[in-house]
Amino acid sequence: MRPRKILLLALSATFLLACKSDKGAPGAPLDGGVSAGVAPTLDLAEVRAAFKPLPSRFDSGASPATAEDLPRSNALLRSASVEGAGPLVQ
Amino acid sequence: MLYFDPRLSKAQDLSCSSCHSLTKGGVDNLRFSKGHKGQLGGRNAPTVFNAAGQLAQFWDGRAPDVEAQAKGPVLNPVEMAMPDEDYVLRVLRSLPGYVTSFEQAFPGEKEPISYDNFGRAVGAFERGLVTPTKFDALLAGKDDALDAPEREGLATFMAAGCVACHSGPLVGGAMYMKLGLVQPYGNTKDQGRFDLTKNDADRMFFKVPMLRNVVDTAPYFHDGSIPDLPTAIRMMGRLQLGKELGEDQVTSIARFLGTLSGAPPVDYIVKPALPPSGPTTPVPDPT
Repeated sequence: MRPRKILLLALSATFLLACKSDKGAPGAPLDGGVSAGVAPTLDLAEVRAAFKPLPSRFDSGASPATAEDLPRSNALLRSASVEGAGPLVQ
Repeated sequence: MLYFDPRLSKAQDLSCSSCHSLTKGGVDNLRFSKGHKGQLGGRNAPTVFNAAGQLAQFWDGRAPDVEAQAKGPVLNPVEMAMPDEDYVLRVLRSLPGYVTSFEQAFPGEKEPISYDNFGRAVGAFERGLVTPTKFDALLAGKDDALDAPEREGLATFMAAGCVACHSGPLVGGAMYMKLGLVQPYGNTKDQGRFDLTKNDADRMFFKVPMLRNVVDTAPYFHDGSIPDLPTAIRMMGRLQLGKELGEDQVTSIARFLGTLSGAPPVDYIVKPALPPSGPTTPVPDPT
C-alpha cells in the first residue's frame, strides 16, 4: 500500500475516533483528556506526518492525492456510522 | 498579464484579479463576487493562493486543475461573460503583444493562441502562487518556528480532530467531505457535488477548503455565510466533529491558523503593463 493511501486511511480513522468522543459542554476535554485552558501536548512527529511543507511551485501532477485515493477515502467515511449521528449517508 | 487583463471580459471591466486579488489573500472578501453587469455568483470565491495544489478546482471539484478552471469564468455569463471561445481568441489575436507572447510560450505550435493555451498560460502563473510561512519552517525541522500560543493552537487543532480533513501541504484541499457530517448544515439549497454527479451519496459533499491564508479570506464556507473565523471554527466543531469548542479552544485554534498566512514574492504578483490594444480589438460590450 502506498504511503499516501496509508496516510489517508489513518486520517480517516482519526476522524472517526474524533467524532466519537468529546461531545458535551463547550470546552469539554479534547482527545487525550485535555480540558479547555490546559494546552494539549504537541507531538511534532505527528505534526510532520500530517502536514507537509509547501513546494516552491505546484508542478503539473503534484496534487496531494490521486483520483484513485480519494474515492477510497471518502467511501470509508461514508460507510461508517458516527455515534449519535447515524450513518453518514442515509 | 492574462490574469490581470479586463479585455477578457465582455464589458472589459473584470479580470481574474477582480475576484482573486493578489493583494487581498487571493480573494475579494465578498460573500459572492460581482460579475458581468453586477450579477452575483452563487458561491464564495476561494483563494487562488496555493490553489494549484488541490485535488481539483471549484467547491465541487468540477475542474481537475487550474488550467481547466481558468477557462471557466471567462465564458460564464454571470462572471466575465465572454460569448464563446472564438470571441476570446479574437480579442487575444487583436493584441500584438499577446501574439508575440503566445509564440514565445508555445514555440513550434501551428496556432499558439488557442483557448487551451490560454488556460495553460493562466494555470502556469497560478502554479507559482505559493505562500510559505513559518509553519513550513516548523515542518521542515525548525522546532521553534512557532511561538508558544501558536504551538498550543496547533496542538488544539489536532486534538480536536480538525486535522482529519485539514491536512497535507495545504491544510485541506485534498478530499471531499460532507458539510454537516454530524449536525446538518442549515443551507441545503446548494447540494455541492451532488449537483454535479447526481449521485445521492454526494449530497452536501464539498471539497474541503484549504486553510492556507484562511485568516485573510473571510467570509467563509461555500455560501460565504460566515463572516468571521471564530464563528467558522465554532461551527466546524459543531457540524463536523460534534464538539462544542470553548472560547479558549476557538481562540487557540485561530492563533494557529494565523501562522498559515503568507504571500507570494512581490515581484511575482506585481501587476504588469498590459499590451496595448490593436486596431481590431473589440470595444467593451456592457450589454
